Amino acid sequence: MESARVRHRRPDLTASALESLDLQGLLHAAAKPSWRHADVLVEESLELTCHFADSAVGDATTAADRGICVRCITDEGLAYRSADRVGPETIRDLLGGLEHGEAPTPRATSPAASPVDEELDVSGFFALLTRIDKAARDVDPRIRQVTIDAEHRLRRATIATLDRGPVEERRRLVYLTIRIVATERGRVATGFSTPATSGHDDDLDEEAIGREVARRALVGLQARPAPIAHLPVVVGPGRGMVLVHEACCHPLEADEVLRGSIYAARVGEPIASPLLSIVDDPLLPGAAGTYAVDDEGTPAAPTTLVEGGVLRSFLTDTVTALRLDARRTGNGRRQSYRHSALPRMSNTCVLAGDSNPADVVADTKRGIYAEHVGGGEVVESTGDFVFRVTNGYLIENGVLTDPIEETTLRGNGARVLLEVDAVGNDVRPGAAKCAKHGHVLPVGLSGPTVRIRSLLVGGTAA
Amino acid sequence: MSERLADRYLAEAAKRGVEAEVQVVASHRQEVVARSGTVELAGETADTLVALRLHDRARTGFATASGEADPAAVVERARAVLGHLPPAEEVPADDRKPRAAAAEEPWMPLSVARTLAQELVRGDGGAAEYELRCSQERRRVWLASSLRGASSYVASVAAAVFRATSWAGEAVGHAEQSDHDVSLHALLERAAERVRGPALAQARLLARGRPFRGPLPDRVVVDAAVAGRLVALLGESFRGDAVAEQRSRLAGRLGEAVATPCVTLVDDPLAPEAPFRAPLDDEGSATRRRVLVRAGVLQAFLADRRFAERVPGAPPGSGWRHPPRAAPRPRPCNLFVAPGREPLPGMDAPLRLVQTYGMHMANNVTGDFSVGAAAVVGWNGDEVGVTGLTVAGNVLDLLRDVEAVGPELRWIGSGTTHYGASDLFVRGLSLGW
Repeated sequence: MESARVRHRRPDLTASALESLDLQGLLHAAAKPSWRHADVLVEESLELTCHFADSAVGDATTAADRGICVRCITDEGLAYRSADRVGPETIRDLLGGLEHGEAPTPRATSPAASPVDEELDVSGFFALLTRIDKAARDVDPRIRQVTIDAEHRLRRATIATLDRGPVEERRRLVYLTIRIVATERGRVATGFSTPATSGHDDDLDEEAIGREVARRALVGLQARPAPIAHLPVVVGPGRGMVLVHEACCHPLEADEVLRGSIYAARVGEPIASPLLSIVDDPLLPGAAGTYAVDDEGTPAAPTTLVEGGVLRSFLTDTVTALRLDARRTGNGRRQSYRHSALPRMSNTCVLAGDSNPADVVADTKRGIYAEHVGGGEVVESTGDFVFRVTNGYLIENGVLTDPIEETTLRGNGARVLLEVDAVGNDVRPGAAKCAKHGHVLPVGLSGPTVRIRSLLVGGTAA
Repeated sequence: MSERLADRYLAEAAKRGVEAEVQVVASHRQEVVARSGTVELAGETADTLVALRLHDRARTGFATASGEADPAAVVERARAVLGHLPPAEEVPADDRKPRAAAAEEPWMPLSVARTLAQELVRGDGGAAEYELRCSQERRRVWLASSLRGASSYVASVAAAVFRATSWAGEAVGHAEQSDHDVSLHALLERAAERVRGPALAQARLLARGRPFRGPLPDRVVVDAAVAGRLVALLGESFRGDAVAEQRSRLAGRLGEAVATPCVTLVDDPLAPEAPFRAPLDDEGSATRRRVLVRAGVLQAFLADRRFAERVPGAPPGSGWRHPPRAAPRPRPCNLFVAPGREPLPGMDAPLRLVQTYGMHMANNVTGDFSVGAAAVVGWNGDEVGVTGLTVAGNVLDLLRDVEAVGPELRWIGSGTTHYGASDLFVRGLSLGW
């Protein structure tokens, strides 16, 4: 019988070699007067990914990765070089070619340690998926398929800058993408969910998750086409905050501000309903986008973006903070050492309001209830955004009536934020993956029921 | 170096009495981001990916590692995970002689790419701003097996994405045009004409755009860039794993008419016009041109070695790692709608869908999509930008509503997966505004 756990202990020699790297010293030795900032990141990760279908794990892969990225910022712009080798010679080589764009020199490799000194509980992880599958299938025989794309990632990064000695950051993430297919008399409907935790696996209630996603698929079998109309929309709590993530927060990322986003130069101005307060909180316990230090070594802290409808801050990384002459908010994030950092959201939190969510629905004569939301997309320069409703209902005379087929809600961020007219007191968590310029990162969402006076519902029924 | 690295992994597997296959991918990637006449970012990455496939007691296990990893530890890890997997049949790699790989493309030095990119984003004095993101990547791929010997090839892929933002008073227009090729030289040489000009023209039209005014035409032109996104969504239904796992509405329909006769859908990893060309997939199978839909009739699906036996009409040769550190699964490589020979027919009130956003959120099981959109409409001889639209439909149903396919193929995508389409003349889309 194979061991139930895959252990990854680093040999002492390599561990001490890695930890004795004088990252800051190497930076100072290479620094030029033109460098306004320079940093080095050493990243190690171990990941288990698998695809679960037909009530079994179909394939599973472990991925061990380790590498270095060096960067410098000058008045000319940002330059970076990265390689999957760790050692002082590699760092010197990378730093030496930073402003010349020379290809990193290939070097003979020697066996190195496993990337992190923690462990992945393979059998426990697979058992979690099996329990979700069973809970879903037990709900109803019309559940035809349960697929789960699952990842369990451990990551350790050490970052040093010209100004600051090395800081270490460790992260752990379990992220599940669940799709459940239900069929009845030739009709096909799907349920979708992306539970995640950066804390303990016990944060995930597999029984409840399986039942809930199955319910979403089964409800879809009864759904009728969504209307094409401008209607009031009540967005459910948790992942529904994708609305705010797209409509408001992407245009508040400072690289978009520098490109002339709709919120550029509007700090201190009202941009949203007074009912709305939004915080980017990388310290939210257990959330998908949680970290203590960002990927540039800046300590993380909550950033109030909107307070009572008034714009308070943008989200910056080092480059954009320098260009905007603003403080670093600790939002410099990267997909891996192969990428430079970009200003990115961590966990987007809409603070609780006063309304009872049931009263918000009851107070809506005709509209849409977006119970569960998929992803979204925004054009930062215009503020036009969409987000997908994977489970929704019609609201008729203050009551939820027929479920509607998947649809998209479209709006313009600048207008929609001002049209929020109710904020519930029922804050829930959610998780998603966010892509920007091809860099994909986990992000957290947290917030209550929110109502918008009018959004375009992009259905198929006139 | 790749050969020696692969041999070390094979030796470690042999010590443990298990069969192994190893893929070593040595990559070099460069990117440049230029905006408003300056280069904002220039960078490069060099790395080596080792992808291991182990066979033991009718089970197949996978692991990936960076080039510095200890082969013994990686093999042990793969074996440990493999012990938790159920037995599963798989076919051997298709080891017919691969087609010839393309010649190695010249590499553009980063300094040259910086200079050319900077030139392309210089303003012209108008109320507009430009941004160019361009990249090139070269992969040297080495595949070795304890059963079959070794093969290798070199592949290049390059991309240029041009964003234009235009202002007309308070109004803002935004447009993005992308181009893909095996050569960054070729891309930047034609960028002014192929992406910069069209993006700027479209952004200016949309900045002066207005909400839609009816009547709604019952037929629209779907611009090639938008059509490519629809092909990407469509591709999910042709994957052998989706068919086997009952996630494809095309399962069990081989030989049926699923599209209008003007639609022929092809996946060809060595298509001469495609931006990525590979003679072998990530499992070591020789790639082949596969006609999935011929003149509207469903002919085949895409499979890797694990799904080839489970899915009729799906030989191996489409096993790709996406993302690169995942296990190979059936995926398209260069999936495209074969272009037509004639320009699209003229229309009285043409509406051309030129932008969509949110297509990645479409339902890849049912094929339903509902996205934000912008269009260009011909009114009284003038072109007018229209913003604030939604477009909804079902991509599988849409196949039966394609009335004509334009002649000029455009590509979108990245890495080992690209999608191609020409302008499509379609009916049956639901537009909201």
